[in-house]
Amino acid sequence: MPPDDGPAAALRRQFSACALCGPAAVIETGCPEVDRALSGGIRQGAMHEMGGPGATGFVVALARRFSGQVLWIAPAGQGAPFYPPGLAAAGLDPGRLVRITAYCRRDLLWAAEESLKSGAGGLAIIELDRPITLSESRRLSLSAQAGRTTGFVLAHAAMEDDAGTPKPLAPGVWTRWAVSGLPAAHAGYPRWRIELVRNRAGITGKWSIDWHEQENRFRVVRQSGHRPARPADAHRLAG
Amino acid sequence: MRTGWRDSVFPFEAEPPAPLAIITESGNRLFVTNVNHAGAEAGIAAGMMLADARAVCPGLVTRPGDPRAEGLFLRALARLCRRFTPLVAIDGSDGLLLDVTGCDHLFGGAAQLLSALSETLVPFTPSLRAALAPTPGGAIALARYGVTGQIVDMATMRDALSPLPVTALRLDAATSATLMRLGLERIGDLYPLATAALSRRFGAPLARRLRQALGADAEPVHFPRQRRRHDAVLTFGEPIFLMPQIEAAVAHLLKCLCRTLARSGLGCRQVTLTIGRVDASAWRLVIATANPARSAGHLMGLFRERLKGFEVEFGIERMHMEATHTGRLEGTPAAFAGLEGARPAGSSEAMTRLIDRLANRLGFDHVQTLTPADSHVPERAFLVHGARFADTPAPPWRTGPARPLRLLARPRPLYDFCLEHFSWNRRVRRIIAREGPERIEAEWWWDDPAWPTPTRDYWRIEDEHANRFWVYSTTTPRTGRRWYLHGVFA
Repeated sequence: MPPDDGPAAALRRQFSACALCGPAAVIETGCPEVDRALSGGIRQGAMHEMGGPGATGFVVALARRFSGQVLWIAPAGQGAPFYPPGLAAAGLDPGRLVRITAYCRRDLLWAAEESLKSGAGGLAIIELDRPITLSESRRLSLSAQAGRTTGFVLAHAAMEDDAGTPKPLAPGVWTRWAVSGLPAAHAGYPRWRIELVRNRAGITGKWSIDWHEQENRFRVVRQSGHRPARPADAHRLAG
Repeated sequence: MRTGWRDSVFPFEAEPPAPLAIITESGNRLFVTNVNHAGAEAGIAAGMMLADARAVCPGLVTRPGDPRAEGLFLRALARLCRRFTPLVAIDGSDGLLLDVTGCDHLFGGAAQLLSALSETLVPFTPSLRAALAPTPGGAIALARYGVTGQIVDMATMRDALSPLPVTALRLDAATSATLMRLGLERIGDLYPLATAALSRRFGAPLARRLRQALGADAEPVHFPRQRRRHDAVLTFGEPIFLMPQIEAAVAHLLKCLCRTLARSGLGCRQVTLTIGRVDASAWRLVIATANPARSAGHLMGLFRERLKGFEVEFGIERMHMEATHTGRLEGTPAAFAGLEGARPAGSSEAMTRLIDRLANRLGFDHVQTLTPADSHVPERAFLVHGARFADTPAPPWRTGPARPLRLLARPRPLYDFCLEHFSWNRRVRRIIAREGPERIEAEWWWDDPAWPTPTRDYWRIEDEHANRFWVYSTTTPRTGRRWYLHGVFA
């Protein structure tokens, strides 16, 4: 057994200070399969990138599991800004939101860095109109670590092409997700196909998940690929 | 020297002034409210109708009155008069009342005070009339109706007031008209009459005004309190150039300012820093805060952001910092230390500071909070506030029919929409399912160009990739049924 103050202990301390190895606070998604892949849950104080046509809904559902205020940083004058009554309908109280808008990308990233660094909010959601670059994602990650605030980058806002193939993006973020919609089983239960494309501390994977609003958690759908019956009030058309 | 300056400011004074009247409209008729000296000599008096005035003096120049500007000018004159006494009140729409008790010896006596006052004000109001009397009522009567420049003491008060018309006692029009009719035209005519008889015949105000003018009754005057300025100045013997020096100076000024604010129990909402350069050019930096703040460190952070890119040029020789807006900062941090500690992560203190930092760069309209609005119209279903009002309690959000997560800033027309497919984002999308319609009617009391038709039928539709859209249709007799995309359930 080596003594505690030896060089090995110093090395161990050094390693534990390093972001990769330190025991990090996580926010569980509530879905055991996904949490296992993420080694516990969504890592706090790190950046996570969400892409794909269903990303906004997935981020809103995840944001419900975070406490504190949510800073939503988006380009000003954007074509389709988030809609507060829609967020309220999805279960995220818009009163928790602080909406921050900026006209140029420089100001937007500055605001994102400041928000992450200050540690004032529980979560920062950063919408970008163009993909994030390596140095940008690296800087945001360092800010998130410094302020112990989680950041979600909505790389491609809604209205993007929904072909489903995530483009190779900058590797500075902790995890990257590609989210696309799936036909929902029931009216109040949105369903997504989520793909963990990149994970710095764990494995990747693909799941089909349901959002259970009352339980405030996700559930993996076992048999994906088959289309469930529509609710009675919806018209079935040629499908 | 004073004359030379006045001439340079008012070059037109050299010419003989034309008769000039200020007019206002009242009940479809135009009245003269003010007239200059030349006009008065021509026989025009305030209160005349414009038609009569024109008949008396065909060459009369008229200008419409601007009560707001006149009020501002009077307040500016009141500020100017603060050099004679701290107690300056505004009397009516065209008078100032100064309480110079105990101030005259500073100017060498009452006469010198009055002449200094005239010298100061005449450049701005050439028709100035001033008088000094031991009572407010007496001073007003003498200044408005007596010979200008009179100085009256208690002993000569009765004699000085006696030749003035009874209107000088600030009576209402009916009372003064009755007095005139009865032949009581001068204040002196009232002296032999008994107070009790006057009160019985003309009501209490006449007797009270007379006693107040003569000093037998006290007359309280409200002198508005001066707004306290919170500022600090720093001048440098040698001009400074380097950013560390500038930052140190700003930090010092902030420390002084915060100390002044602490004494009044205030925090600043806006701080203006004026940096004077050697070549007499000035640079103004303004920072604002969401909540009253008194932490020099936090304010310094906001200024540091602003000082980036500041052009020093030939050097800085003067800095002036003023808290241009202040707010009450209740309580002390020590008293609420327990509460502060108990707050959860993301406490409001850290959030306030973040909002300050962001808003000072992006603008206060770019950091917003959202509250629900009582409207069914999608565009008006929420209100946006600047984050500085974040403390107001918000009503709860109602959840009704499904609403999209993103709403297009402007609905986009879908030209090829039919029940089977539509194209969007350069792709044709097959419609798998639809739900609806939900009919939304425009509020008739809003004249909204975005709602040319009063009703919209909203549908939720889903394409083959499970993308859900919020589309609506409107029908007008001219164009028929049109479809628009308004939101996405991303």
